[in-house]
Amino acid sequence: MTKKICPACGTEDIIERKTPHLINEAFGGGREIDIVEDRCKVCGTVGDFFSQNDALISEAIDQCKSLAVKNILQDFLDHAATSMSSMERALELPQRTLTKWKNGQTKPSAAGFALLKMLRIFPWLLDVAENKFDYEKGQRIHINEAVRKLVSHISFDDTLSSNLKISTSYNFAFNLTYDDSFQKEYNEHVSQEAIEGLSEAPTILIEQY
Amino acid sequence: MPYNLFKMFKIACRDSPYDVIPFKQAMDDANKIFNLRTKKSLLAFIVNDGLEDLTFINKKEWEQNQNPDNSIEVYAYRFRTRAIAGYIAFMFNRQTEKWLIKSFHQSENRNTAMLEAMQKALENKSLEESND
Repeated sequence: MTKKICPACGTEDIIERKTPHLINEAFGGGREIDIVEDRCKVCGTVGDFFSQNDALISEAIDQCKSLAVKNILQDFLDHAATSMSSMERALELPQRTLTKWKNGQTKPSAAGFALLKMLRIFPWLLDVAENKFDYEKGQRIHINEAVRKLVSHISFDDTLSSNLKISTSYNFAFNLTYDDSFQKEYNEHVSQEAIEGLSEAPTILIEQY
Repeated sequence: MPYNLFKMFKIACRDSPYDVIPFKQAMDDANKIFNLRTKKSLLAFIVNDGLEDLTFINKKEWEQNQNPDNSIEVYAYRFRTRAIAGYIAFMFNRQTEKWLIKSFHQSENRNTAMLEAMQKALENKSLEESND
């Protein structure tokens, strides 16, 4: 049997102990596990000398990620009033992909998990996908969402934050209605009022109606 | 020499990961600062040239070395990953034939990372304009 020695100084005078280690995963909570900590009594080096911890840590991360996937998708079902089928359609994912992820039948790849987290933080990205990732439309969606968020933090009249008219270019204007239950709809149309008085450069005009 | 040594260190990370041991503090910092939560992900990051703009800083004798007959030098480098300026220090013990990652954290000169990236971008833009 190979002797266990300190990798830094070569002595055999090492002690092994278990220490708690907290794993955190966004939307998946935290999990405490015990990992191995080797300590050399001669040179003071501390570490995982014999690569014992990676498997434990990876398993705990996987468990947190599984929970995060369920939480994110459940959150969409509860608040976004959008079906998983619609999300799959917009994102061009095979149908039932999200259901399988939610039920744990399959696991998303690292890329799929990153996508879910992005959508959880920025749900308007689904609208960008719905518009076939068109750059101009994507920019307008992005700006409008930012403006809506900004205005909702300004203490104007209470009705302002829930009914906004946002014009973002001299060619198009659209009305955005939004309420606290995450319902939103907007109609894109050419607004004569928006065009009049606007310069040729893209402009954000916020009006209360 | 320091850059050749780094190549050898990278090869060890790729081909003999069991012979590369991060200190506990280095692993904790890799997790907290760089989101590298396992030793495997840390070594994979090094192997895949994640340490951009690698610059040798200095080398010095490892202070905790108990054997004066076996000199162990710690090599320190600065690097960049996106907007984070990082610092890595490692050493090789010829007797145990192990590489040890002593430090892996943010560089004290972290404010220059973004500045250097922007300066580089401006230089490239000037070159493009002068070539037009």
